This record gives sequence, C-alpha cells and structure tokens, in this order.
Amino acid sequence: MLLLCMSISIANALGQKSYTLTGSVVDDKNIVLTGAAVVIHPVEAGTVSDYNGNFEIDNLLAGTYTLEVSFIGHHTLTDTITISKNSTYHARLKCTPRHLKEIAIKGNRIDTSKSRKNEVVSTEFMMQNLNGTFIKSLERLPGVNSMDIGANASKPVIRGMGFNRVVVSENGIKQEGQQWGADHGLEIDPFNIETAEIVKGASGIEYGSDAIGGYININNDLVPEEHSFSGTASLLGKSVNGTIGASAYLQGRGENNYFKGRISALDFGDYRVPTDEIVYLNRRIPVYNQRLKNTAGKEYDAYLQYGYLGKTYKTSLTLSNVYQKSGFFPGAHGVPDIDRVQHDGSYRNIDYPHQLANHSKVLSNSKFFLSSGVLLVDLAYQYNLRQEHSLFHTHYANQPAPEKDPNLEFDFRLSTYIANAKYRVTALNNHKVEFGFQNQYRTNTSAGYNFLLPEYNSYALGLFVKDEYQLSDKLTFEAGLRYDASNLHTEAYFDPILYDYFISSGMSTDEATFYAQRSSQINKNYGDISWLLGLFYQPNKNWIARFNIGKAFRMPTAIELASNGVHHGSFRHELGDPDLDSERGYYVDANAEFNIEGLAIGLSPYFYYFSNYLFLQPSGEWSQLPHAGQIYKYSQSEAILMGIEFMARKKLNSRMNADFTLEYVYNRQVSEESSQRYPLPFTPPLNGFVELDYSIFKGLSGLSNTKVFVNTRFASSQNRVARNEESTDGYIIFGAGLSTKLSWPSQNSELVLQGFNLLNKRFYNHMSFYRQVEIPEQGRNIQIMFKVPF
Amino acid sequence: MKNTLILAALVLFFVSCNDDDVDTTKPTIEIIKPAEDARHFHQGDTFDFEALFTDNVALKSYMVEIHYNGDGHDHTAAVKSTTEDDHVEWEQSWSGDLTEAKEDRAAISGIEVPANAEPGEYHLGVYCFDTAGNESQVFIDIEVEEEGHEH
Repeated sequence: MLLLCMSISIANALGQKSYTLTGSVVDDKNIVLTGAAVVIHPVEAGTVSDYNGNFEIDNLLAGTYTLEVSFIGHHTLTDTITISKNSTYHARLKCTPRHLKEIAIKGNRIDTSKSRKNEVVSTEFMMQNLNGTFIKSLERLPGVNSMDIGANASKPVIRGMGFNRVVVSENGIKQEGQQWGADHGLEIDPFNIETAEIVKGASGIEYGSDAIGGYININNDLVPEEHSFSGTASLLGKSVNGTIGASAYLQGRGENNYFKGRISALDFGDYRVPTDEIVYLNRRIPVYNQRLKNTAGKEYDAYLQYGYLGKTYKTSLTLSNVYQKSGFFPGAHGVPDIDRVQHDGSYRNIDYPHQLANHSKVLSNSKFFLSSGVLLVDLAYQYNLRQEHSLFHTHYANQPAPEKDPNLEFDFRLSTYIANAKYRVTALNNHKVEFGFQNQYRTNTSAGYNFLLPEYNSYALGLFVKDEYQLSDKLTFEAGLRYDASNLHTEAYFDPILYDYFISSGMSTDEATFYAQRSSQINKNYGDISWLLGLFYQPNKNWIARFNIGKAFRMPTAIELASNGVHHGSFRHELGDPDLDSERGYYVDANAEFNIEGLAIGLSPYFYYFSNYLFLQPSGEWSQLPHAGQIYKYSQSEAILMGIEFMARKKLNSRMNADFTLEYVYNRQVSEESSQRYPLPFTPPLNGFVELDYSIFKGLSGLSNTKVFVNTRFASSQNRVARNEESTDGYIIFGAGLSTKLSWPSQNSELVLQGFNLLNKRFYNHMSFYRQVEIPEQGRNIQIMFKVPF
Repeated sequence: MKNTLILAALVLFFVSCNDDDVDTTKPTIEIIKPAEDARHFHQGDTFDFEALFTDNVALKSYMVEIHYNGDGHDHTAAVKSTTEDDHVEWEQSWSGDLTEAKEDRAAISGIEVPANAEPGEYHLGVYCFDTAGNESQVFIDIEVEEEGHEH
C-alpha cells in the first residue's frame, strides 16, 4: 500500500500527460494472434497480445516511437508511430516461409473460423479467474458449469450435460478417470494451462464416444523461444480454507531441443460455510465455527515436457503426475450422525472418510510436415488410481475387517492406452481434408472392503474423415463422418458375505443371489456412427453466423451396464442394465456474433433430441439392502434438451468495460403421457455473470494494465427437478478485485487480488455433490494470486 | 436491440414449455409412535409403531427398518463389537403398500426387542414413496439397554 501511495505521488509530481496505445494483431489470413510481442522503442514499453489478439500499452508520453510487433513463425513488423493522443494500431503479420520457427508454432494457433463456436482460455484468463480448480475457473463462460465436491474436486458440465458427456483432453489425448462418479474430480493442475479450447456442443467427429455436450482441450504445446531460458513462480492464497499454493515453472530451448517443467503444490484446510448447522433427513447437524469438518486436502503436481524440432517435424514427450488427497464431510456419508462432525481440534487434518486420486500420464505428440499435408501421431498411457478410505464399517454382521488396509473402502486402478493418427491434407485448394483413426484400450481393476464398480476392460476404434470446404471468403462448409467400433467386457462379482447374510436372515436363495451378484459378466459390442454438417458464414467484418447439425453418441459405462448395490455417496441402490444401447443424441446448434468497435454480442441456441438418454430412475421397488430405500435402475428414455447462451461485452468509455453472460437450459423426458415428462437430473438453473472493470493508475510508473472490477454471479431457483432431486433456491453473489502488472520484483509480474461471495451469502449450487445433503457453498473468500516471471 | 428481442422471444418460448403434469413432490412422514419421550427400551420390551404419510398426489408404499448404530460413532466390525457372544445386533424390516390417496397411516403393533439384542443405539428408519416414485425418509434413534439395567 505504501508503495502504491508513493508511486501515485511520483506520478502526480511529474504531472506530464500520458497516452495509451491500443491495437490488435492478426496474421495475413486475419487469424487472431495470441501472445504476439508488442514493444515500443526506445522506451522499451511492451506487452503481449491477449487471446483476442488485442493489446494495450499505456504511460506513453507524446512523441515519435518505433513499434515492433513480433510473433514466432511470422515476419516481425516494424513501424514508426507518432503519439499525440490516445491511438490505435492494427498490426498484420506475414507468415514466414517454412523453417524451424514455423515448425515451432505450427498447429498452436486455435482456428476460430470453424462452424462450431469455440472459446479460448489463456494463461491470462487463468490468472484472473483461478478459483480452486481449472474447471471452476471456467464458470464465467456461458454454458459451462462446474460440478463440485469440496474445495478441489470438480468436473465440467456443458449445456447441462456432465459426467461422461463431456470430453476433457490434453494435447488432443482424452483424459480418462472415474468421471462417471458423482464425487470424482478431474485431475488437472490448475497452474499448468497454457491455452485451453472449450467447445460447447457435440464434437463426436474429433473424439468419438462421450463428446455429446462438448469438449475442453488443454493445449500445453507452446514452444519456448530459441536460445532462451526462463520461468515463472506463482503463489496463491485463499482465505476461505487457508489455501497456500505455489507453482514453479521453467522452460528452455537451445536450437532444436526444448524442455518445460513445472511443480505445483496446494495445501488447504476445512472450508468456511456461512451456516452453523445443516438440516438433513430431519436432523440438525452442527457446523462448528462455520467450518465444514474434514474438507481439508492437498495436491502435488509435477509436469515435464521434452521436445525436439526437426527440419520437417516436431515431437514432444510429456510426463505428468497429479496427486490429490482430500477429505469428505463425514456428515454426508451415511445416516447423519452428530458425533462424527464434532470438531477434532484441527482444521487442516485429513481424517476418514477421504479420497485419494493419482493420475499419471505419458504423452507423445508428433507432427510431420509433408509436402501434401501434416501427419499427426499421438501416443499416450494414463494410469488413474482412485481410492476412498473410510473407517471399516459394514451392515453385515458376518463381514470381518480385512487384515491389510482395513480402512480402504474402494481402490480403482484404470489404465488407458491411446494411439491416434490423423493426416491433414493441406495441398488442396479451398479444402481442408482430415482423416485418421483413434484407438483406446482401458482396463480397470477394483479392490477394497466395499464394492461399487465392476472390473472391466474396453477397446474402441474410431475411423473418421472430415472436410472444410471454403466456398468463398464468406462461406465455409464443414462435413464429418466417423464410425466407432467398441467392445466392453465386465467381470462378474459375487459377494458371499452378502449372500450368507441374507440367507441367515431368512431370504430365499433366488433373492439372496440377486443381491449378492454385485456385478454381472457381460461382453458387448457397439457400433456407432457420428456425423456433422456445418457452415461458417461471415458476410462482413461485423457479423459471423454458424450452424451445425449432427449426431453424437456415448457408450454406456461399466457401472450403467453391470452394477448392483448401494452407491455409498448417493445412498441409493443402483442397478445396471446390460441391455442398454449407446446413448444417441441428434443436435442442431447455431451461433451469431456481432462485433463493432467497442461492442461484441454473441447468441448461441441449441436443441438436442436423444433417442435414449441414459440415467438413473426410481423403480418403485424397495431394496432389501440396509439403508437403501427403493432400487434405482439405469434406464434409457427419449429426451429433449435445449437452451441458449448469450454474451455481450461493451466498452462503456475509454476506461470502463462491461461483460454480461446468460445461460438457460431446458430439458425433459419425451413421453406420450404428460405425467412422465420429467426433467433430467443435474440441470443448471438460469444463470449468468456480470462484470464491470475500470482501468486505474494510468500513467503510473511501475504499474501497468491496472484495473479494478466488480462482478456478480446469479442463478434463478431450479424447481424443474428429476424425481428425488432437491429443488434449489436462486442466489446473487458479489465479487470484486484488482489486477495489475508490476515492474517489481521483475518486469511483467502479475498480481490479482480478489474476493468471491463478498457478502458471505448462504447459497446452494444445484450441481454440487453436497447439494443433496443440504450443505451450502463456500462463504466469503479473499484470495491473492501473484506471478513473477524470471 | 434485435438480439435482445430474439433472446426475449426464445426465453419466453422455453418458459412456456411448462410441464406442470409431472409430480416431483416428495411425500411427508410423521412418526407418531414410538413418541419422542418413549424411545428407550430394554431387551425383551415390546412397543408399537405408527406413522402418518401424506402426499400431494397419491401414496404408494412404505418401509420401516431397524438397525444397530454401534456406540453412536461409526459402524465398526459387528463381529467384534458385540459385548457378549450370545448378543446379536437387532435388524428387522417391514414394508407394505399404502392406499393410493393423499393421506394414509401405517401401524405395526407389538414390535419385540430381542431378548439378546446388543445394547446400544439403534436407528429406526421410515421410508415412503408415492405413485410417481418420489421418496422420503426419516430416521430416529432408539436406545436399547440390558435387561435389569436401571437408568
């Protein structure tokens, strides 16, 4: 603060008027260049273009300067400019002929002129919006919601579709975990996002199964500059749960060889909720000191990439590991019990029950630049370990505790092998043809004193071809076709303890066998076609229209096909159905964008018809398993899903900008009988986000790009619920903050200080795992994020 | 302006797709017996159960379940927790259909606490679902003490 006051007085003392230069950077095909270096000589003021290609340099005194705009793989642009007022400059960079520089950058640009609207998230966005997890940070995008459990586990919901209906990938390799589970979170280091592309809407051609709702691809594929060695150090602190996070990054490159490495650590305590008690199943469960017991956790991540740039190829090998351990609120596991939520004297210990996830990955990405096109070969191995530890407990008097690891309730180990290749033909005029194949083999083992997920293995082969046909400058057509052949094999599991328990309590052998057969052996083959027809139309520079129609699918999961028993998290007896088909969705979506100086508006409506949406439905039969209530069966139903996203960004004056987003989703089962047209579970309510930002401290030395912002996030109540899902009230929460670039301790250090839920409002997130047990969302959080390059 | 109008029209369209015919309201359960001040038993005691169920459309079925809750802390290995060899953890359940109406009662008379029931805290759970499958559950604690033990 003292520093701030001093700098203000210095600037005032100088009293000279300063100006701002704003502008944009595009290439010769008008594709936006993100990350271009913009430098003004001789004052050496500089910045980097943002993800829209825009830049802003302030603190310029009147005078004549040399402007230099450079971007890897492009000719550097040098121009003389005269500043006498606030000015704009639009830079257009020409591609350099193919050589090492181009190899380094090729394929890193994300094409925004496709028929499907995509959003690109940069490190800068992550810096500004980092909120616990990578997925949670994306919530300000319309159409993206986060399904959370606790403070550091979340997974994405796009257009009301979650679990296995969204694909998350890194460098094009689909990430596999236990994403069918409500309490699973994605294992991704929130610090380690170079750019991420978010596509809302089905993307079956690129990914095959599961990409019905959309996909999120993290592109950690940037190549450091030649003969460079640099790094960053980041620090994160959060008040709501005492998070301390740190991340260190190093990168370096000689001529052909480069490396990138990162280590991150996060440690956090029990988080605060603005309530003293939770009322669940008619019981009052106290929340001592408004801190939710046993929600503490920690995360350790490591990442190493080695890359080589050949004359006509580029290849990289990436090793990464994400380790997460976090507690579950003990009041949410089982019949609520007041004794288990007593304060244990520490807010940072991780007691039972808790979960542990470790995701290891080896990726190999290669691009070969041939005379007629580019060949991309991606190989990967992933090992996902997920455990839940809970003090040994059983409902069956005859079950002894295991001798080894007596408190290990679940242990799932999923290995995934991926081999993909595609060829992108570049030699054809006006056509961009791509074809290729994808292979995925998965094998999952299961252990622990409880049983939930059957052991299984699956194999999928996808063949695809697509074409982008540029009819004119204004109009591009897209067409794609894909066929996936898959096989899923699950192992049977018979529980003799459960069988004996039921027999001794007088049940018939048939009925006891039904309950004791916790999973059945099945071996099923699936064959699915995905297709897409799309168009991209840009009649002039102000308007863009997109339209798509297509079909996407997802293969049923092992749990949907073969499980039988109480899910410990939902406390429901869930029964799989081996006769389920692949879930098939037919969709139409559109997007219209309007851009003029200072105003951008986008509107994206969509409609899906599912011939068979797979989800859990109550059966109307009691389960004989203790605590279970009625049996829920995985079943398929015709369904429709539609919605709309709206976004607007307006420049209110030279210092102030406003952002607005809104999302609405509507869905229901399709049935002849109106009494059966139930809404689908986990549907986000009408929700939106508004932010106003205001640039301050212009002309202050040592500070640049400083802005303050206030925002609000709101949601209406959600009363359109599936059976046995809770209605959720609406809310409005407020946030505010300050972000700036500092010249201390090194040039371009970044600082973001911000508050979430400033009024400490008690509200519920309809999508949260803890919603069903009446636990509100986190209370007020003040956080600081500081990033120093070196 | 044009966009705002389109947006307004679309929102109206979606909102007007009403589905008032579906029933997602859960039934309610009120445990009448054992009364709140009479949930303390000795081995071999008998007691009556009675509950009142209500629903906005029509009730369907109920279930009553009693199981051991250990010393109130967690469900530990039952084999080891019984204090004496001949003690058993009392587990019992009842279920039955309800009249498909907005209100009904269920009663079980003469529930017998087994003479060898493991002393401690038990959960008595009452479940109910309606014709649409909407389900409610309520749990109460009941205490079982050893025969002859005074409190």
